[in-house]
Amino acid sequence: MISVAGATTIGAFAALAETARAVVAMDSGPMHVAAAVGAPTVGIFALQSDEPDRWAPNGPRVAVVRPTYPCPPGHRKETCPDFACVRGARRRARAGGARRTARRYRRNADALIAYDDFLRVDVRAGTILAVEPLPKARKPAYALAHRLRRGAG
Amino acid sequence: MNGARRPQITGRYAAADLIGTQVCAVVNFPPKRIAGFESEVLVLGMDDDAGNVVLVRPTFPGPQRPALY
Repeated sequence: MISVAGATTIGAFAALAETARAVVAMDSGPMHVAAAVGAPTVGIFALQSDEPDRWAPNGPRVAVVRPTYPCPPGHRKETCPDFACVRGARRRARAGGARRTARRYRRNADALIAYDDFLRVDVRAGTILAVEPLPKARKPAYALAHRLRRGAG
Repeated sequence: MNGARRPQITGRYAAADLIGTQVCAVVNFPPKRIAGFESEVLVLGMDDDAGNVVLVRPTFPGPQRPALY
């Protein structure tokens, strides 16, 4: 986990986010950039007055972190005196969240297929006509007679 | 004989009980040699807790059906 806060331009950050396993960001422009380029993104909406329902990025690879810190709802980003909620969030906890998010969304991305991929698998239903034991199989098995081969009717 | 399926189908299904029932199978794999036998289709099932196969079947058996979608 590396911090690139203030170290890149928006364009360079987009390129970096695209290759990142996950991006952890405050509710901010970079959070939206990361989500827009498809990075698994953890958005930290740290203030009680933040509105992730309204402002979190759309998309399937976005996770939202809400605060447990009991700041007064009247504290807004513009006026918060100390951002104690963010300082209180343990670095290790954030890293753990990023790892979990990266794992979850990478797995999902790998598992996603297009409908056409599914259609390549030709699944048919057919009736079993005869069954014989398969004595040479490592696990007990049957040889099934059927009429399921393509073109066999 | 046309097709076969491996893991532990014998646990829940006696040979005689299978005859005349319907199963679903992938029919466009290349043929594969299994236990001295040319397997042509992959009959679809899922494992139960004991590692026995539970077959995937149409809920209403009928004449051979066209492709799954």
